Formats: sequence, structure tokens, C-alpha cells
Amino acid sequence: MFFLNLTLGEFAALLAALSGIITALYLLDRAKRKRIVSTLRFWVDASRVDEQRRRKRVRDPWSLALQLLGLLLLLLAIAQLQWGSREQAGQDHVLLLDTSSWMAQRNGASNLLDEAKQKALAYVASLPPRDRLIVMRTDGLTTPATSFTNDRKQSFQAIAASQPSFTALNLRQGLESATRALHWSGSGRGEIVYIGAARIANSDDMPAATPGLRVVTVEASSENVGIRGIGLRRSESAANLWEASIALRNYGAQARNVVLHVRFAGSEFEPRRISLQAGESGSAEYRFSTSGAGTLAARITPGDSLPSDDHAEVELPPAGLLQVAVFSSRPDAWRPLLDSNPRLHAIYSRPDQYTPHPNADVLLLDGMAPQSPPQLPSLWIMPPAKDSPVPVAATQTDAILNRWHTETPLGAGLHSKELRLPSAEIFESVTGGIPVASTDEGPVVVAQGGTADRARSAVIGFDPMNGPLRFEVSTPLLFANLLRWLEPESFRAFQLTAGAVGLASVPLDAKESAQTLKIVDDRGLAVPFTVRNGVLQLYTVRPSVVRVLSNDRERVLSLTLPGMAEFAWQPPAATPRELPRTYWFAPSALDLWKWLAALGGLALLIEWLFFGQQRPLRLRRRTARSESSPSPREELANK
Amino acid sequence: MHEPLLDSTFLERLERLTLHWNKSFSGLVGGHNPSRFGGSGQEFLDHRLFHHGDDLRAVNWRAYMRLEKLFLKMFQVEPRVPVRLMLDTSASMTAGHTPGQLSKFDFARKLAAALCYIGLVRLDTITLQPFSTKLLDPFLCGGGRHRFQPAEEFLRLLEPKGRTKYLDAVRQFIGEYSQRGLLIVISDFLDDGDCLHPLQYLADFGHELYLIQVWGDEDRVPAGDGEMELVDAETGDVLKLGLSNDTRSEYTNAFDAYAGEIRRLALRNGGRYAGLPSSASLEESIFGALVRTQGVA
Repeated sequence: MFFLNLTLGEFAALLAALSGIITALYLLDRAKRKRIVSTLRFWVDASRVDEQRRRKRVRDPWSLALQLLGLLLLLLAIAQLQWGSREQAGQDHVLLLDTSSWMAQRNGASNLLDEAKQKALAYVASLPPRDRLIVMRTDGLTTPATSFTNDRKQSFQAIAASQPSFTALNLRQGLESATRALHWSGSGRGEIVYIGAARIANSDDMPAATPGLRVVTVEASSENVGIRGIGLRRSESAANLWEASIALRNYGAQARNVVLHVRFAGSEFEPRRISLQAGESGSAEYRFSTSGAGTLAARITPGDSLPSDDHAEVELPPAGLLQVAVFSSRPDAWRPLLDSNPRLHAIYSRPDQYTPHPNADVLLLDGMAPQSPPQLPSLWIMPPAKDSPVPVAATQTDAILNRWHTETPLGAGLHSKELRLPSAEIFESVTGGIPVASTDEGPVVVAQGGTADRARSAVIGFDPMNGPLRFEVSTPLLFANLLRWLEPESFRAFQLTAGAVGLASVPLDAKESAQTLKIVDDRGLAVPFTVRNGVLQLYTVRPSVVRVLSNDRERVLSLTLPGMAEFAWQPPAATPRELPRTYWFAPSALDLWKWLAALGGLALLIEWLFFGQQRPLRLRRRTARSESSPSPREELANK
Repeated sequence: MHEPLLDSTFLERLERLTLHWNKSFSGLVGGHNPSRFGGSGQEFLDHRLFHHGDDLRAVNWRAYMRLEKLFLKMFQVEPRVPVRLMLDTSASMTAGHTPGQLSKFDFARKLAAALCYIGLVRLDTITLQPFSTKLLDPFLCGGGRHRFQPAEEFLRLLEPKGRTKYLDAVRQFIGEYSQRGLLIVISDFLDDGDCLHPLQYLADFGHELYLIQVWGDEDRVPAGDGEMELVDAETGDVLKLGLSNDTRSEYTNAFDAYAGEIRRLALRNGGRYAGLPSSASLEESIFGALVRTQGVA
């Protein structure tokens, strides 16, 4: 019996309390009711005999008895009374099958999960037929593979279909989920059975004591050396130079020597021999130069029983040089400025060779105004006043540039003393125009956002290559800012990382926030994430490549390595460790609650029929006077 | 605006009826219907030539001034048999009815209003005399149907209260109304004292009794079952008992026996008796029971 999840004593107390209420209601119902009547003269004689007859007799004792009986039967029905011992009653069990990455460890021709499956199947077969079972796969997350069912075939199929995942075991979460499932099952509380290697990722995730827990472990070797991650970023000094860092770790208890093989786009680096003590981490640094895309693959030999972390790959994007088409009659003046930036590749042409669709990312128009407007982002240098993309208000000689608009990204980092400009075009203020540098008379450098029929553009109203300006440090910074604004994709900083599946954390810059982040996976779908204390956190359950896009940075997380479990969990000593005995001929208990509910309802119905206020089956006792003597009204009618 | 006790449709039906009495009362003129001969009265009937000895107050002086002839105005002779209607307004008239139905008091004053209207239509003079412990202020109405409205208002403003004391009320009635006539008593006749003897006094005094007993359904057949605490509506006395089918049957027998005594008293003295449950409709009661007992026809 469940007794409504109460003990027998609590159940008896509940029954006594309800019986007391019923008795009180009964006494209240049978109590004297006050009634105002026209006269008492006819009552005295009529009541005398009846009062003497009832003075020492409880009225309607069967009514009270039927009510109490009905209450008892209904309570027992709600308590799901069963005929049979508790061992014969059906119980609910939870089977937690460890499918973490560690279960992929090879053991001859099979892996640990295959061994765990065999034990799980043996456990399912040992259960009594009435017991229900839910199969839950647990790794970094815990997911039910079946519902509570006593269909053993369904449980067998769910166990057989289980595969090792790429996340490490979070056993605490798994046991909490199992406890909740058992609590909500609504049937007899059985046991929680964990079958697996019992290796967890963090010592903080040690599970709490769980009642009714049975732990069936499979023997796993802790000797494993694997790649923990690959870090890859573009060098600041050269556009095509990449710096890679490959991290290794020895998870075992013995020192190991491994050989790290790294190759990129078919070219293999010289193998490096790395010695790792027990529990030691190490890394190897690589620098290589490439202008094309490719895959950087790392592999360690000799292999071990867990091959999934012996190999890792990172995909490199194309070099991404900014192609600048320069239309100028003085290319030699521009070469020192443009060629000094490794992110740029300038193509010089004469003004008469102008075309609105050159094979470039940005146009630089030096002192010219093309017949047809450019269809690409463009940078204009002292355009003719009448054809300037930003209207020219005035032309000023001996102007003094005394203000850089550092509050905008275009003016970031620009500082100088007053610059004397031999000649400058003062631009008008236009809608959408962003002033970058100004004199007292007005802006002399303006950027203008793009529209549907016009590309982005920036206009410099003076000649930066003339006079002392070409030697100012502000000049290349101004060009860098303007070109970065015109074509931000080409200046995006790349950072590539290969890591483990599961929880990934990425430290963010101070200027980055959740609003500026865009995170997509390799299928282009948005990945949910949180930002807490300046650290981006996201979770993946399968190997995937996640791109983290911010203002001018792109991080590529190649989360293809398995999550590793470094700690072995030791269950409490009292926890059963072996499979239970098999119930070959377990008798089943008989449910009585339906019959009890029917009998309880029947008792209350009988009570209502014979004793209720509106009793339809009132037992009428015929009296000679009332039946034989007509009333005055009837007398009159007869008369 | 108060709802009238009787609606106009029902009043139209009542106009066909007449109050009946059997006795001839000595010293009275008039009868059941207004006389065709002129005489003293309120309602104008005709003119005739003045004769010596006629009452000068009835001369039509306006006609004399115009025609220089004396004409005498004649008035309709009114029936002289007084009709008195005693209406029980004691507190017991509010008890004993099933919830949702008319109380005995409401039923009784509707019945009184109907009988009053019947009398007014036939130009009878009716005295409405409410009573409980003693006689309350009466209301005299006569002169035709257009005088019904004040009578209805009088009945509507009555409130049930007090204890029934038939002996005191009858003694007072005999003292105030020396002229014999038709006496209609509408009551539940549930006096803790004796009401049969006072009624007998009225009959012995010379009144023709028309006793209309009104009871509620629970006055005759008490409802409920089990332990009861019964409170007398008039005296407040309490009686605790267990109500069962046997008790109920005994009670009904006692009530029926008492109603039979009242009926026998009325018939024995040349009067009439009608027992009406308040749950019955007023129309059924008047055109059924009252017509059968020849109280109205």
C-alpha cells in the first residue's frame, strides 16, 4: 500500500481525523433543528409517546456506520491498497546508462559502453515483470531514452541504441534527474541503477548521497594521453603568418612519451617527441605562413585505448587581404603609405583607366571625380568641389586642422598637434555624414554611410601626401581607420581554437558585450549562450564548429575533441555494487483500489438513499389515522 | 409604487359574486341588493314633485329657481345588514407556511380584500376589523367599487404581530358592535386558549358566523425529521421533541380534529365554515371552496 505516501500511523491519524469530522457532521445533521410554528397545542400529545420511545436511543446509527465505512473504503482506494506483500508490488526503477566520452575507451574488439550495455541488459532481465523501468542516458546531460514502462523489449532497444557521446559525465546532474523521475513516477519507489565507468570531469561534480542507489561499474583503464586543444591565431606582424599552440595532457598514472604529428594542407611539420609525467599537461608551439585556407591537423602516436582525443583538426580561413584599387596620377606617392600595411594589396591605375567595377574591395580616387559613381566602398582625396560626394561648402587656404573626432570609431587613436593645411575643402554637414577631422570652419574629413543605391564612402578634403602631412603619424592611422570602416571584413582579427565538446568558455574583451555578439554553428544556426563576468559560455552536445562574431573579431571554436573525465567517483561503501538476483517467478500483487472505490461509493449511496435529507427511498410507516381519516379539505371536497 | 393585493382581471371576475347570509336580522331594512325605491341614502336615484311633509333638505333648489316648481331629490336606499370582517393579525399567521409560498397572513388579507370588493360592488357596507390580542382600529367602507382603493390600502398596511386572545377580542367586539349582522372571521383559529367558546358567544349574540380557517401546509403536516426544537410564534414557548412519521401522524390527526370542531360550531349555529390552505390559489379558494359553502354566490 502507498497510504498516500504516508506511514501507517499517519494514515491511521488521517482516517481518525476524517472520521471525527464525519461524526461531528453526523451529530450536527442529527442535532435539534429550531423551527418556528404557529402553535404548540397539537404537539404536546403527539410528542409525548415518541419522546419517551427515543429518549435513550441513538437515532440512525446505521447512517453513521455507513458513512464511516464509505470513508474508510474510499481512503483505502486512494491509498491503492494491494493484496500481497510489498515485494510483490510493482516498483519503478531508473537505469542510468553512462554514455559519456570515456565509455568509448577500447577494450579489445569492444568498448566500455558495450560492456555496460551487457550489464544493463542483465539488470533489466533480472527485474520482476510488474516493475517499470525508465532508461536514461547520462553524459554531460541526462536524457530519458524511454518512459516508465514494463515493456522490456523497449528497454532493450533503448540500451542497444546507446552510443558514446563526446561530453564528459556529469553524474551529479544524472542522479538528480533520476531522483526526480522516481519521485514523479507515482508508483512504488524502486532503485536508481547507475551502470558505467564512474569517471567524472570535475571534482566539484561529485554526486550527493542518493537513497536507493545501486552502482554497477565497468572496469576502465585510466591510462590515456590526448590532445586537449589547439589554439591558432594570426600574427600581428605579418598577414600570412599564423601561430599555433597544441595542448596535450597525460590523464594516466604513468609517464608517457608520445610523438606529435602536425600537418597543414598536405604539408607535415617535423614530428616532435613529447614526454609527459602522470597528470602532466604540455604544449607545442608552431609558426607557419600561408595565404590560403586549409586544415591544421594534429595527431599523437602511439595510440591508446581512447582514440577519440588522439586527433584534432582546425580549419583555417583564407588570408583575407584588402584589395585597394588606386586611381591616381602619382602612384609613387601612395606606395610608401599603402604598401606598409600587410593587410592591404594596392593596385595602381591612372585616372583615365577608371572603371566603376574593378577587381578590388575598396577604391581610392585621388583628385578626380569619375563620370559614373563607384559601386564599391570608396575613399576620395580632394575631389573637385562640384563633383564631391559630400557637398563642399568652401575652399580654404592655410587651414588649421585642430580637431580629431575621437568619439567615433573613425577617429579612434588619432591625436596630433595643430596641422597646417596649405589648402583644404570644408564640407557641408549632411545627413548620415560622420565628421572625422575638422577645422574651425568645418569638417575636412567626412565619412558617409551606404544606402541601397550608394556604397560607403569617405572624403578627405586635403592632400595627405603633400607637404609635412606625409610624415605625420596620424596619416597612416587615418587611412587605416577609414579603410577598416569601409571594409571591416578584411580587418577582422581571427582566433581559432580546437576544444572539447560540452561547455566552452571564451574570455571577451572589455568592449565586447552580449549585444555585439553573434554566435552560429557550422550549420549557420544561432547557438544559445550567456555572458557572465566577461566570459562567454556556450554548450554543445555534439562535435561542431562554432563561430563567435563580434565587432572586429571572429573566433572559431572547433569543438571536436571529447570531453575528458579526470576523476574517478567512489560511491559510498554501503551502496550495492552487484546486479540483483533474477525474479523468475515473481508473483504479482492484486490491485484492490477499484473494488474499494466501488464499495465506498455504494456505501455512501445507500446512506443517502435511506437516510439523506432528500431521501428518495424513505421508509414510510402507515398509520391508521393518517391514511383513513380525510383532512378537512377533503371533507369539504366530499361534501 | 406598491403592488396591489388583487389585480384588475381578478377583480373583474369577482364582480359576478355576492356576499350571502341566511339570517334575517330584526330591526334592519335592506337586503342583499340595493332597493329600487328611493329613500335616504348617498347615491342619487330620481326626482319627484314635492309633497307637504317632505324633507326640505332634499329639495332641488336650483330647479326651483329656474322653473319655480319644487322638486324633491330621491336617493337610493342602501342595505342595512352590516357585514363585518374580522381578520386575524396575530404573529401565528406568519408561521407554518412552506418557504416560497404565501404566508397565512398574506393569503388572509388577499381573501379579505376580495370579499370586501365583492361587498362593495353590491353596495354593502363592510367593516374591516383586524384583531389579535384585542380589536385594532377598524375601517368602514361602503358606497361602491370606487371605494375599494382605501380598503385595499388599509389591508396592505396591516402588520402581523401580537398574540391571539379570542375571548378578549370577542368580548370587545360584542361591546362595540351591538347591531347583529354577518360576521366573517378569517383566522387560523390557533389560540393557545379556547377559541370555540368565544365564537359560540358571537353566535349566541345573534351574528351569523362565516368562519374561514386558513392554514399553512406545515401547520397541518409538519415537515422535517429528527430532533426538533419548536418555538411558538406567538408566545415563544419552546418544545423539544423527535419528529417521526408517528409523531407527524398524531399531530395531523389532532389538527384535523380541531378543524372539525370549528366547522361543527359554525354549522351548529347556522353559519358556514371553509378551510383553506394558504398554498392554494386565491381564485380556486373563492370560486371553489367559498362558493361551495355558499358564502358567496
